[in-house]
Amino acid sequence: MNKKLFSVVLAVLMMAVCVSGVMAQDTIKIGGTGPLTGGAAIYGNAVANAAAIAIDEINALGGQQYELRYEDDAHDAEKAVNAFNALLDWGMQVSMSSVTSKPAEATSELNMEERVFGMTPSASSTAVIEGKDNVLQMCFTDPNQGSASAAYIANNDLADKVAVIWKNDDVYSKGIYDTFMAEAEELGLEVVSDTTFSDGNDTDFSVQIADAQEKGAELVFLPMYYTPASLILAQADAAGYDPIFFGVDGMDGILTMEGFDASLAEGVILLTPFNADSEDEKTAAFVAKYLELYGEIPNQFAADGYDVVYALVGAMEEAGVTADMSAEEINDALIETFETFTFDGVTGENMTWSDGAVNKDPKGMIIQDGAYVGLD
Amino acid sequence: MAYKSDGSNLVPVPSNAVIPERDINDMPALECKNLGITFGGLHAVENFNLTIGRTEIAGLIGPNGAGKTTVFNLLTNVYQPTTGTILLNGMDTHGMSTAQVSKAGIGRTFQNIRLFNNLTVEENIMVAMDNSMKYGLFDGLLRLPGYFREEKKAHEKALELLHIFEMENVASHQAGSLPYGAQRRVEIVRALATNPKVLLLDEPAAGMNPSETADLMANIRKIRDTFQIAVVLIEHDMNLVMNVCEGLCVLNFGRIIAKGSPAEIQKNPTVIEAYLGKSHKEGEKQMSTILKVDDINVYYGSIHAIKGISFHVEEGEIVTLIGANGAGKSTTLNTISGLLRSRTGSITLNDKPIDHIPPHKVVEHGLAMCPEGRRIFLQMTVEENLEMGAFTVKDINMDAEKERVFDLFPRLKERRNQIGGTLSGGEQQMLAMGRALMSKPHLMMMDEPSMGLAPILVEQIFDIINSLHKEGTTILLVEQNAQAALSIADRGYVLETGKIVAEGTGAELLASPVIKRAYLGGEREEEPDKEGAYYF
Amino acid sequence: MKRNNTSKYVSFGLIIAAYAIMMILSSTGKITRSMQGMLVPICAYIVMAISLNLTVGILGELSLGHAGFMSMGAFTGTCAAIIMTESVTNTGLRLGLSMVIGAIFGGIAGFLIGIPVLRLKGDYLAIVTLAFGEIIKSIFNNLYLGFDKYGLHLQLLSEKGIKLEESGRMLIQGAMGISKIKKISTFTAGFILIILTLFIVYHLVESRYGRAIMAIRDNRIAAESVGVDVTKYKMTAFVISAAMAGAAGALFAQNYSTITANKFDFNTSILILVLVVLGGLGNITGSIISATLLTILPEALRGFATYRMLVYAIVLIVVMLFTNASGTKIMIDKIKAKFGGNKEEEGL
Repeated sequence: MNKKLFSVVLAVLMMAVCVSGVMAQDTIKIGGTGPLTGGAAIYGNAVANAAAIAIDEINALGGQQYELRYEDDAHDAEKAVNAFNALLDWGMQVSMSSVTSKPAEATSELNMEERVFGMTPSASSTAVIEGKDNVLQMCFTDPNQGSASAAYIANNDLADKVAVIWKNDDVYSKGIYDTFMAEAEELGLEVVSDTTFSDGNDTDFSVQIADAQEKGAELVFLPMYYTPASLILAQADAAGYDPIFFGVDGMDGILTMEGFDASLAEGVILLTPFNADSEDEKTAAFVAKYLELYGEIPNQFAADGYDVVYALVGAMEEAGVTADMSAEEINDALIETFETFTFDGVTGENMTWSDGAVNKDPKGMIIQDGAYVGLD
Repeated sequence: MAYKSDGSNLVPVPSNAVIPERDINDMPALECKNLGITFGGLHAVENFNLTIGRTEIAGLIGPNGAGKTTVFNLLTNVYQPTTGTILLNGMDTHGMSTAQVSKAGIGRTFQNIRLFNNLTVEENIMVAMDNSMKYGLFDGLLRLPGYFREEKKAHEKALELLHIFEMENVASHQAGSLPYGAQRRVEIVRALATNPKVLLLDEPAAGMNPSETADLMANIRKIRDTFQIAVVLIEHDMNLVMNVCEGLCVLNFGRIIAKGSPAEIQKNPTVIEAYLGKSHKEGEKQMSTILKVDDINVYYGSIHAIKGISFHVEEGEIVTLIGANGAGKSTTLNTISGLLRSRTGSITLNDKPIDHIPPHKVVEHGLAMCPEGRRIFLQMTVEENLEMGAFTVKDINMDAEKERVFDLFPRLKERRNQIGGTLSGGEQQMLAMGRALMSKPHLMMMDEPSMGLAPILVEQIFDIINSLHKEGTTILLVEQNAQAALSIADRGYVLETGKIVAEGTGAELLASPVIKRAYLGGEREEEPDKEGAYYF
Repeated sequence: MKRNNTSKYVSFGLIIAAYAIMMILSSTGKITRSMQGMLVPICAYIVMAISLNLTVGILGELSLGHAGFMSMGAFTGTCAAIIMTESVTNTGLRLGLSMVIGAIFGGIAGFLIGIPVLRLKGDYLAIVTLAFGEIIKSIFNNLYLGFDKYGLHLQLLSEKGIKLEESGRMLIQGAMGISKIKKISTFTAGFILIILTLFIVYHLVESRYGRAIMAIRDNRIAAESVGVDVTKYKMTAFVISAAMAGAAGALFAQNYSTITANKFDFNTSILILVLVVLGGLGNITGSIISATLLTILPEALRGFATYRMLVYAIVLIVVMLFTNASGTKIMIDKIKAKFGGNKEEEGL
């Protein structure tokens, strides 16, 4: 009987899930999934916030109106599929795919099946775009980041002896690591220390740091997100080890991390296509707006999210997409348009796409006086 | 000892302690040689030698804590003996698991009933037949013909076994919901279902009323005759032991102090000294109402457990509530102490209403409860247990109170630093009473103080109750043992299914036919569904 | 033998009715994408809940690593399905075979883990199962498995040593798990799996094996005293439970295009335990209902945006308190009494 009452209460909620309401509309609906809660929430929220800014700016111009909706996937493939389905129920016509890689791998499959065009701001795994004609990436793929990092280190003569600490149960970290190692070998970088960590033992890095220090690494490459990276920086500092730390786009966000002493990140180099200090007019306006609304400097995820909205809207305008078109019609129009479309955004200029991957130049950034400064 | 096996190392026993020689012409069913076990230096059982004939009914008796249940646990390999040998039908059971011993032919019941409470009665019995059932896992999962054939056979055999106690009608009842006596009987049937050669019964009559006990006696004989097996029983009910057993073995402090026929044991001076006691006396009285209970009604869910009970206890009196199992005695006490709530009426203690204050406050008003089953703190020492009794009472001289309790219970003084859990049943009961006394109560309530105790201890307990009474403590006593309770009580109330059906002085009630009907059995039949009276 | 058949029929009835309703709704297009998308995971969670209920409710041992068995079935079943892609073209048959393989490997894992674990009791057993769940997760996180015409190539920690033929492909890539899975799981397959699971559990419970297992739960000492081989029956229950979890894992994994070992972590084990506890220990119908509702609930709460997991937690607490409140219990008693007072606990 208790089960009966339980079910009555929840059956009401269930009806809400079951009943779909489709209304006539004059806005184009853009949807995306990302981790708005949980350990990776900082990425999802950055993207959702920046996308909202972009949508507001576009709508303020008065032309075709757009509606944005972000659903939480808590960085989990199963929940991402649920979130994606909820967006379909809502009437999503164009998709921003998912923010993180594994969820995007699952939802991009739905983009393909359901013929909904998608562009992910930051899901960098190759599996997201492989074999799909209608899913694009705004960020570099993981392999690109790895090889670009190695090339950058070698070309700029940053170090001869390199240490790598990576997370062996993380797709993102491993993807970058693999191509970094391949490229490093090619370019003659000497990797003297190669150590790993995984979920659950990601708080104490003394062994990894000691190994790098002992082997005399001048540069430590950290293909990982910023949470473990912040601990590595702090623990290396405590151990009196001060090499060059070299990060990737996941490192972005470290300066705004709560409880982290930003001075520890001084001198950290990271390869990211977005530079919040850029003099560029578009970037400055975006950074100012983001700072005003959310009280922090936007990171690269935010910039990617911002660019995705502008790229999608720009392409839709070029293709002459209207609100009464179905998702599939828009999809077909966008596939065609993106074959030739070029885009200038805050994360790069003259971007083009081939087989779903973006072509743009990475920028080296260094952290100085608590801010990202372009190296070039 | 009867089994005069030449050359065997059976202990030579004096002639007056020999189990009469019968029916052991061939090999005995069970033979223990020099059996012993030590727990951390303590010899719980030592030098235990016993031979049981193939169809003998033997009794294992002795005061509480004598090591009787330990012997059963040794026989079933729950404990591995430190020394000695057990031969079951001539086969050494050393190193076998409990399950293997069961397969080899020893069935047993437990002192504290261990049924599979969530299974039906029939399922309980069928579990015991598991080893004789012949279908495999896949026959069961796929419901192959073997499954139906074997299940049908087991079902029929289960009903056949239940017929011994005429319990077929409760076959589909949940075992845990049966009345106490019925549970004991199911446990016996379950043990029989393993096809034992020796049946060990641990206090089979505990908690049964006299008429149930009488039935049990007849049934034990019937079981022996029908199945041609040996029965060994541990029991405190001397009436049962003397009537049903053909041979007795008396244990004290882990050692056999006597063996022989019931008649011999009754005359044995060692046994009498160790085991049997004297008779008790009368008390006096004076008046002023301490407790007044007026028209209370208590429910367990939808079950109307107490149906408008009213009674009173005067200062200095011993008042007893008696009645069969499940009549509502403990429920009444729990309601007075605030653990349960009445929907109507009032309860006053020294003219102050106590029916709406929490249980720990009730204690502060001068009421102490000595609960059923001696709920002492098993992990605390005797002294700490006593201190807990006065925990909520302000302005008390802890040491003086402890001394007063130790005077009443010298045994507790000896064991003041021992952990509660290591005390014997009788000592635990004393401790529970002592703890209740620590708060200097105006009224002391005792729930079944004699439950599960040896006669000598029952007598001691009643002596203590009497001396408390003489000291001026007012006592409300709930007892199974109606004779004992009524003989020391000033007044008594008879409860039957939640109602008071008779009241009067102890002597009046003892003579009253109402008691015989309501309490001492007769027309009480198992109808657990109708009454719901067994859920207390 | 006459044991509470009502509850059994309720379980089957519920599942069949739900299946029929969903099929009708789905064929008439009345069902939302959200609901449609959740059907397979709901089926998988129902099987998981029933399977864990066998261990926790019927055998009476707390297991905190049940997601490990699900993981075992997910990985082995999915790999098998990928290998069979060309040889077994019928997707339904391939899914069925992959679930059987998932179940076999789940069962093997259950057996191996059962050897040390079932010697323990209570809390210790729970902690050790937890550790084993994590071990299975770690193994799959570091396992690299490739497949080509020469067979399987397996390596730990890195895929460097695996050289595949041109036509070969990597099956498991460590932490990246399995990618590009063909989504062959269907609601009908899930439905059939639930029905099979129910058959197995109910038939088990009504056989001598089930009786012995429940007897061990109710009183181990007494069970031993009547000759029940405790280890054997515990193992039987544990292996069956693990095998069912393996089949559920294979079903679950092939509903998504990607699966990683981290999906089957401690949190998932706890989620499944919550399903069982909420539905009632030993109560199969309860497990079915709670698995369904708790899978839908977070989706139904999407309206609360970022607060939804908070609301979810609150709803969970409220439901637990409500179903345990004495007031509710009295009310339930009364209602039971009114409807002929079926005495048996609402178990099974």
